[in-house]
Amino acid sequence: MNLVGDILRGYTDMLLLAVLEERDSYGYQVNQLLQEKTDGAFSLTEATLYTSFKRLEKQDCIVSYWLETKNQKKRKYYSITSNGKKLLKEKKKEWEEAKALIEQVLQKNHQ
Amino acid sequence: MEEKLQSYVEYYFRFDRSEDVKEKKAEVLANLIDRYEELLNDYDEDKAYVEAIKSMGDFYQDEVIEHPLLADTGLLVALVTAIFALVGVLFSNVLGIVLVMLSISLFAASSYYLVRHAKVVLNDEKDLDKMKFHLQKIFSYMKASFTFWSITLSFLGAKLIYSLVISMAFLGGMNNGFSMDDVVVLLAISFIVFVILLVIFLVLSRVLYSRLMHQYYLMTGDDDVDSMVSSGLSFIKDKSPSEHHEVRGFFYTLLSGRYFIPVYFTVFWLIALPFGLEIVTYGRNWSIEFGNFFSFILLSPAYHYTFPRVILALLSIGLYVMIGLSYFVKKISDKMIVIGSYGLIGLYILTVLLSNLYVFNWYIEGAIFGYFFLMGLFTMIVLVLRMFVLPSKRDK
Repeated sequence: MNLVGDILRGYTDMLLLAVLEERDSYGYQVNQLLQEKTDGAFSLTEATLYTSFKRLEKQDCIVSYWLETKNQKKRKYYSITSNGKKLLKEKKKEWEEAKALIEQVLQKNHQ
Repeated sequence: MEEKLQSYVEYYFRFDRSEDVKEKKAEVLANLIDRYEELLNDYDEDKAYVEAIKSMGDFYQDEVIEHPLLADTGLLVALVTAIFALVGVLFSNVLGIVLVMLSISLFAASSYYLVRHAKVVLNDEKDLDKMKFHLQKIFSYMKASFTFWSITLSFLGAKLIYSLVISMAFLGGMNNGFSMDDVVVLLAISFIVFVILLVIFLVLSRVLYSRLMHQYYLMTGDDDVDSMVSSGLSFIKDKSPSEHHEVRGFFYTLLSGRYFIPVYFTVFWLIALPFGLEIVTYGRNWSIEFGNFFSFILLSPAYHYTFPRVILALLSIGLYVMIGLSYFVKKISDKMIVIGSYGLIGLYILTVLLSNLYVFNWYIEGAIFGYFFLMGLFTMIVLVLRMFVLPSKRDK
C-alpha cells in the first residue's frame, strides 16, 4: 500500500497550486514536476489531474489558455490566480497545523 | 501511434455529452502523446501505448454504475410502446388505446418499483447518490413518454369526434354523401379538436411532471433534476443535454427541443398527408387542382387583391423563407424554426376560418390544401436536413 500517495491524494489541489505558483504549466508537465519533487513516489492519472484542474478553474483559483509550442504542439496551460494563491496559503497553513498536531502526538507517544 | 491514441481517446469519450468535450479530448490527447513519447525510452511501441493509456485513469469513477434492473427495461419498453401506439392509432382506435394503456401501466409499475427500490437503497446503504441515480431513471423517459401519450390520445379524441359527427349526419337522414365543403369543415373541426386536446394533455402532463419533480426534491433535496438526466430521445437530435438545460420557458420547451420532432412531425405530416390524398379522391381533375395549390400562394395577391388573401399569401411566403433560412443561419436556428412552423399552423387555422366566412371560394379551399401539402413537404426536407445534414456539418 502506498501510504504517502494516499495521504498526498487528499491534498491534490494544494500540490497542483504549489507547482503552478512556480510557473504556468500544462497537465503532463505538472505531473512530471510532481514526480520529480517526490522522487517518483507520487504521480496523478490524467483523470485526477483533469478533475482537479476543472475544480480549481471553477473556484477561480486557476485560469487556462492554449499555447502552441515550437514543434507545433498545442497544449493547455494553467496559471494560478490571486484567489489560487490565497487558497494555497490557507492550505499550507492547514497542512502545517495538521503536521504539527501529528508530530505532537507522535512525540508524546515516544516519551 | 498518435492516431491510435487519438482513436482511443475518441472511443473513451464517445458518450460524453459535456460542453467542453472537444477541449477535454484535445488536452488529454496532448498529455497522452507526451507520456507515450517519454515511455518510448523504456518500452517498445506497443507496451508504451498500453502504459500511456493506463495513465489516463478513470474519468467516470464518481458515476454510479450498477447492473440494469428489470424496471429500467420496463421504462424503455413503455416509451417504445408509446411510440408504437402513435403509429397503431392510425390503423385502429382499439389498437391505439390498448397500446397507450399498456405503455402507461408499464411506466407506472416500473416507476413505482424504482421509487421503492431507491428508498430501500437509502435505508440500507445510506447512499444518497445511488438513490438519486435510481430516481433519475424515471425522469429520463418521462417527458418523451408523456408527449407520445398526449399526441396519441389527442389523435384518438379527434378521430372519435370525426366518427361521431359522420354517424350523427347519417342518422339524421343525410344519405346523399358529403360535399367537398362538408369534408373540409369536418376535417378542420377534427384538426382543431386535436390541437385543443393536445394542449390540454400537454398542460396536464406538465403539471404532473412538476409535481413529481417536487416529490423528487422532497426525497433528495435536489431541485435540478433536468440537468442531470439525459433525454430519452437525445439520440435523434444534435444537442447535448446540457444545451437543453439552457432552454427556458414552458412554451418554448413545449414547441422545441425533444418535443419538436414528435409534435411537428405528427401534426403536419401524419395529418397533412391524408388531406393531400383527399383531393385526389374528390377532385375530378386533380392535376389542375394540384397546380392551384402553389399558384394561389404565389399569384393570388396579383389576381385577387383583397386584404386577407394578400396578407396570408405574403405571410406564408415570408414564413417559408424564414424557416428555410433558419436551417442555414446558425444564430437564429431553433427559435426561428419554432416560430415559423407554428406561425404556419396559425395561418392554416386562419385560412380555414376565412374559408367559412365566404360561401364558397375555391381559391381559399385550394390554399388550405396548398398549405398542408407544402408544410408536409417542407417538414420532410427540414427534418432530413436537421437530422442528417446539419449535425455532420456542425461537427466539422
